[in-house]
Amino acid sequence: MSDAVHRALRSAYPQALATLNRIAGDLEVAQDGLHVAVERALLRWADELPTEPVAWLVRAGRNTIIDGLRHRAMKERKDGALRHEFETDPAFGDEVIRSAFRDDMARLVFTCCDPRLKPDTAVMLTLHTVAGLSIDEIARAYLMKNTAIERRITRARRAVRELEGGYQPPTEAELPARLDAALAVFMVLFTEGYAARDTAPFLRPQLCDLAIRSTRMLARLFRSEAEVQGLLALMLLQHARAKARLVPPDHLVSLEHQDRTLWDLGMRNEGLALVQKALLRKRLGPYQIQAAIAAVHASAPDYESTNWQELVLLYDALLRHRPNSVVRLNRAVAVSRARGAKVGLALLRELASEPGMRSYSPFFVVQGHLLAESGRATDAVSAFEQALALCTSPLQQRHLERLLGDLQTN
Amino acid sequence: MLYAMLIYHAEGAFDHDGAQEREALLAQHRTLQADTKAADAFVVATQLMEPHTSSVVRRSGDAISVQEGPFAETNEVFVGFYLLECESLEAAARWAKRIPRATVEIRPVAYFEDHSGKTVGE
Repeated sequence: MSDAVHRALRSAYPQALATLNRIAGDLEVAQDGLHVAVERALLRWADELPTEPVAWLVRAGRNTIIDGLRHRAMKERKDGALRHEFETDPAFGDEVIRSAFRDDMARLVFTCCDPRLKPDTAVMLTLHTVAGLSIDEIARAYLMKNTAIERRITRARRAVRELEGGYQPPTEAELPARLDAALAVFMVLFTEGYAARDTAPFLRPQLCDLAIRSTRMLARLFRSEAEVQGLLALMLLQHARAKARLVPPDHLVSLEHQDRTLWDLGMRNEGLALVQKALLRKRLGPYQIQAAIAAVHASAPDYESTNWQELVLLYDALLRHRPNSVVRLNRAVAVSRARGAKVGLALLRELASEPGMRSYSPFFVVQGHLLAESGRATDAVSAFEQALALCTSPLQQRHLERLLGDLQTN
Repeated sequence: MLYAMLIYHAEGAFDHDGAQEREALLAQHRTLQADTKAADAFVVATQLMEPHTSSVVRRSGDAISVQEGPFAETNEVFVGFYLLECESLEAAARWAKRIPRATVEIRPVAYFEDHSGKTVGE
């Protein structure tokens, strides 16, 4: 397959699927139809690329879908009227396909990110359909076998089929909540790559790339939704640090010790541009605030000159949207940098009684750092030991072991 | 004559590029820049961020406000430009053809001034 054909197919795929999904009213039927269309395209496009690849795929896919429906209809009711009905539908011109693009893509996103689906299911569907990734690519990003990914996608498709009432387009009043569900799905995907979780021994930056690519698509789709841009900015600013954050093969570097010259300038600058735009708009939401927090770090030439005072204010704002103890823990870090370790430790004492905190490894990591800074090395060691005992990620464990080693030799 | 080469792409045209394709594209731009510099044609090369990063200053009567960009919703988006000094439109078109994977609008420049005070069109 030539590069040009490959590229045309890949960029036309999501839009073609979105349109077929609307026509068929069923994601699975749409995917089967598109699959046949892609096979045909591989044969035909090598000679000459169509001027409208999306429309070409939609027409080919639609014919397959109609044939399938007609076949079924004839078996069931011997009803030949169906094909006629489809053929006279004016909604198949290239122009219509182009102009309905945003609605169709939105429909596809909301089908895959239906709040009734489990996040993992929604993530698989989003990758395979919205982002148009092959099973091979998804498997590579997840560092998993193709067969395992195939099984997950099959399960996800079944879950969609079993949803009662199928796809319901959100009303204008429902849109923010539905969009929020979609953003949460994209965030799960990003975090999967960014956080070293117990199941994955490594960071998986490819997953972050995929999440950014998908969120970028969403940002184009919903240009006036500030939170969508906020999420994209957050991802870009965090992922910009990827190269500095992990020294191969497995040395995790905390923000404080990262070599900032390794940060990706392109991603950082785009993230900063989006945050500045968000702040101007004055419709702040949790993703924008988190992006603003990341932007404060991204703008500091080094850790010492970070504007901690501003971070405290931003965490205060975030707490109003997300009043939970993890945010309070992060706020405590900012406060301790702005006003000293003692003040930070006092905040941690209040936090310690919060449900879940005493089994949350990062709580003890923060405590360990603050104790060490206050000159209480022995207490710090026991805090880090507790953090290590609670930690399930091999990558984080090695990081904590190194911290402990440093403390004990000093 | 100074010419602006205005570069347009379908939105998301490079989303599915792999690292190799991205590198190949950049390499073509770098070669073009080197060649235009060698030919004393190069003045400016600019790549813009995505349309969703843009804001628009609008006037309505006496009121001026900064609003959500981009300025226009189009299928093809403006992604950047070169400014090149060329003998003729024909020469400009020769350079423009080497801008990879894009639709390029060639517009002669009426006025230009840079920080060094070098001006065109006065």
